Amino acid sequence: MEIIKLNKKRGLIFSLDAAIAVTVVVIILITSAYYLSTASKESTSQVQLIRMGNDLLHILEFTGALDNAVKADIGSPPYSAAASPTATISTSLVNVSQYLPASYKALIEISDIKESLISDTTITNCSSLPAPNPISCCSLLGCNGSFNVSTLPLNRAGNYHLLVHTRAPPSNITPFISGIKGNVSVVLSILDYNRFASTYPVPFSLGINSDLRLNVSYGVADWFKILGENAYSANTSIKIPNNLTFMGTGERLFAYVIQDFFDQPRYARFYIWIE
Amino acid sequence: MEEEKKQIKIMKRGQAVVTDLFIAIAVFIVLITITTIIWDLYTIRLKMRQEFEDMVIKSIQISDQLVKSSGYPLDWEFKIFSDPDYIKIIGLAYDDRKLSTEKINAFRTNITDQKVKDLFNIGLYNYYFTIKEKNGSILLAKGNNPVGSFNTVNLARIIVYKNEPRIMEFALWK
Repeated sequence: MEIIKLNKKRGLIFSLDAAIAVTVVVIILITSAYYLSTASKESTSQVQLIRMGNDLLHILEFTGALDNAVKADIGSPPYSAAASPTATISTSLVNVSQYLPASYKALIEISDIKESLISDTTITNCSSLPAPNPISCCSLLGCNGSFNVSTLPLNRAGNYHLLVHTRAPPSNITPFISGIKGNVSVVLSILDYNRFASTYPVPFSLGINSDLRLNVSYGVADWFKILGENAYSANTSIKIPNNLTFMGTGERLFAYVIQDFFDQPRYARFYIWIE
Repeated sequence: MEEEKKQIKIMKRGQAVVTDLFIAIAVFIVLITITTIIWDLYTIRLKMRQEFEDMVIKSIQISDQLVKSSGYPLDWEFKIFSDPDYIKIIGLAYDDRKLSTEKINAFRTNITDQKVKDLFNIGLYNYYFTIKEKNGSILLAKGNNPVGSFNTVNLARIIVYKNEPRIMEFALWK
């Protein structure tokens, strides 16, 4: 009787063995099938989506839509200080849906390359000259002498370079310029005939900085900007959905040139997806 | 009594082994069947996927060639009237993504569908080339329209044609 029991158990062991083997094989098959089917699922169609986005940027540059978007935000040269740090590009200026097939959506973003127009400040007013009243002279062309200027509100404090644009006097003598920020001397070296840049970063605080004094001789300073401040960025108003399986992106460097005035290179970036 | 017990013992052991064998064979057959079916299924799927990927890659390459290249020789659109074999590579652009009217006219009227297939090396497939207005209306077309085909890859590109932004589509189908 004991032998019969033993035989029964041996049978059970064989069946268990087979069941385990089958389970393992089935699990391996299912897993490999799953990974095989998901491994390269969308790779080639994703390439097409990105190509479509690149085509789109090319056409937007060709039609002047990117230039118009920048122009609408920052105005015509000489630029005013009105550039918005997070501007919305109007659909009437950059209408991507007219070029994209149905169900394709894209967001276009324009940003500078870390030379921020947010702090591009036109110098025309020196009415708030500090005592002792320095000698200065202001006109619509800019200011000469020693005067204080105020920055636009900065989004974050930090050490930034300063770029000052000048206009030479009729005698075409190169202007001379220096500065003081609080108690710190700002040494400016010439970049080209009209532009001066600080030789080392200058500390700026959050918000409006009104303690920057410029000393200009042989010409006038007409605007300045703080380089490397939180980048200027503008984008179209479409919202990117959260549940996307894939979104293509890419960028294109373009130059905003209007009325023969070269401003600076900018990035146009696309985010494209299928809804 | 001892002899009888021994007989039972031997008989039962034999039965147990045979049952085990049957179970093992049954499991083996089921497993082989499942494996074969799954293997077959995935072979078919893999083949379909490979074919589809091949069509997508070919379409991407062809559409890129059409919108970015002027073709070879560069002046093929002027010589193809007299010598149909003059063209070696089809390209429709005079600049990046800007299509030439002369090249498109020559492409439509002076190159046969078979020649296009030969030059693009897409002998197994059919193609359909269109340029559309932004609103979707067809400006011009060449090739066979893939009506009712389930195996079609259609790629759209945004191009400049006659100084206006337009959509170029290239479909590869079987």
